[in-house]
Amino acid sequence: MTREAKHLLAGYATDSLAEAERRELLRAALDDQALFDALVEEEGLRELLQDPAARQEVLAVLEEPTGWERVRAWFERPATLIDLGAVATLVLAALAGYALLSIRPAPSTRTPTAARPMGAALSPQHVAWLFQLPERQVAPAGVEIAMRPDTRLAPGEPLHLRLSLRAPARVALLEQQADRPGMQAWPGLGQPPALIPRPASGGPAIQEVTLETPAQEGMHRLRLVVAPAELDLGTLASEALADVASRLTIVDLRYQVTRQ
Amino acid sequence: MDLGAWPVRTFRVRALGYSPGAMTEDAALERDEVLVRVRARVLAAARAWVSPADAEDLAQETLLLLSTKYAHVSAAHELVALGVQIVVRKRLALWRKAARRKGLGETQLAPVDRTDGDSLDRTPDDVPDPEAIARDRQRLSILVEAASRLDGRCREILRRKLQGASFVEIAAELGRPVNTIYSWDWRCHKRLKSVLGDRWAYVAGREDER
Repeated sequence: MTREAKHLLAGYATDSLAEAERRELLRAALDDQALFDALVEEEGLRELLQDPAARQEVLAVLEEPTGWERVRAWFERPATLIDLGAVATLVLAALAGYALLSIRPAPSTRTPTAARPMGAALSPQHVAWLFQLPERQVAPAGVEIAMRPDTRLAPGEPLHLRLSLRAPARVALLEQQADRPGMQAWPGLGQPPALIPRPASGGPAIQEVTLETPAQEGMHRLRLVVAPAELDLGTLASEALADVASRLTIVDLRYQVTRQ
Repeated sequence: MDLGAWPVRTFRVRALGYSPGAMTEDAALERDEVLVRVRARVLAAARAWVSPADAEDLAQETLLLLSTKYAHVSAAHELVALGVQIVVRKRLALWRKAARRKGLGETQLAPVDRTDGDSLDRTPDDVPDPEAIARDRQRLSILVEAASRLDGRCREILRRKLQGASFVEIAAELGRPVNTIYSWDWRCHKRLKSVLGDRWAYVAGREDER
């Protein structure tokens, strides 16, 4: 089968050959059995497509645009107001999304942690005993007055505190006003120390606490007590407290309350 | 072959689209030579489908038709085209007849029966029956489905061909050499057959290959 004649076979099936091409193909088949066999193979299709209605039916499906052609045509057509509106909406939505993301504060490595009271509450005896202990740093921990450069405050003024410590841990903030006995300032009275979980960021846990300065003028003391998470101080009897003292971190903060 | 027994040729060549002209004795001899070669082609093709004896009969019947019913045709390429058409129809008729007989309890392929009312010089398409019409509808729907799965260049070339464009016209429209269009068309035809797969034989009317 010659190359040229073979390439005419598809045209023969659709009756697309010019007279010279058709003559060339059929004449070649007279001397070429493979080409003659190929013509026999195509004859059924040729007869099928000779019917104008059948031909039209195949043509109709070929004239339908393919999915890709539809997409391309959509992009190639002139833009309409609806298109412009859609593009403008998309741009506005993108800008709004970007703005929202920009306004939201970046996650801090000192994200306040979710503390919750857990275990047994501290009794006045527990508090008194804890005030007897000297300051010590068994684990890193600190307490500071937030948003103020000094430690002089007015009576009844909000006292914003920031506790920082290595979590998980059980934490309580005790308060001793001038000559009065000590008491638990945070968590509230009657509540057990707060169990502060390990922050997801992996850094130190930050706990924001807001108290109110006492009405009485003078020097006041706040005592941060940090115990290991598994140590529930409120359950311990007074004679057992001495055994765990070495595991507690004690940090004091003093501030002055004075009328301006 | 008794060439002298062939009928005197009448020339309906214009109606068939041939170049009109008187047939000379040389042309007649050439026609005889063409018929011998067409018969050889038909015989070789038929041996692939039927027994050697049936193939011999089929080739002889084809030659008989070309010598009698188409005695006015002299151009070699037209004789080849007619030979192809006749052998394809006879093959289909033979298969359908065998299938009918098989349906009636006979399991063997029946030999060509020249005395049968379904004479071989009457092709199956001469007398369309509801079954044949339904079959053609099915063939067409398969072809349409396959054509819908063509894309890009193949879709474009087949579309233009069915619109009646010649290869030269398609080449001009696409701005390519005509030989390139021949190659593309051939590859696209193979692509169409590939999409059809096992259904190609049925679409091409070779029901006996299903």
